[in-house]
Amino acid sequence: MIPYLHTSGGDNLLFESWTPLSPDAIAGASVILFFLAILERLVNGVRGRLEGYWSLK
Amino acid sequence: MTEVFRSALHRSAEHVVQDDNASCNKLETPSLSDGSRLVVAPRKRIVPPFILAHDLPRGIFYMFQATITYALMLAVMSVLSSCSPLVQTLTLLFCVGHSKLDTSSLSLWVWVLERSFSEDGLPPLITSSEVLSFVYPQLFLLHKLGDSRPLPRGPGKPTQTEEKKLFELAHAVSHPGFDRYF
Repeated sequence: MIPYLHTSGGDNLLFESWTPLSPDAIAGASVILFFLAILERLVNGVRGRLEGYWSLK
Repeated sequence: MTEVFRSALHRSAEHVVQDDNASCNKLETPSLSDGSRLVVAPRKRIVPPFILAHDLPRGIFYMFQATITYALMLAVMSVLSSCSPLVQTLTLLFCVGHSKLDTSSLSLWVWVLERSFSEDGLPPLITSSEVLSFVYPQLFLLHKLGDSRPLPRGPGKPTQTEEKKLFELAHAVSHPGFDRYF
């Protein structure tokens, strides 16, 4: 972990074994995080829909 | 002495029972001494009823979402810890502005405060007074972006209705669908 602004890889991401170093690995990690964020929004939407459905019952 | 307490307790218990009866039965309108009638509104349901078939999936979905949110927060924090304080502050402002009073943004603020007071040799992000000065603009933005509901005036204590409206607004934003119970 370098405590200043840098564009190189080598930072741990969630797990000790997940340390994207190459540009390809960093891009892949970004895509995974992007889809994780989309999944979180999807679950949030499903929760809201379910609450609405249950409140109408 | 205990007798006094017991009778007081008994009286308050009676009062609660009467109050419950009055609020359950909408048609009961007790007369006041001056002849006017007291209309007792039924209690509003703010928590959905306990139904196991609803509450189990509700809990599972919440657990799933909380796990993802927590993992995303950790990812953001680990990336931010290797950035300059300016980039950290700007990213936090962006995150807080976008997550709209969500619990994940609150934990980010806690992290900012912890970083500000920690003695790990890293420069502090922002001071606590700066954090406080960021909270009001966030509410102001929320007020401007959403529908124009009143904001608490000045640094004084907000009135009960203002507090309730702010709570409902924040709740409706972070929990879509829940507002049907209000």
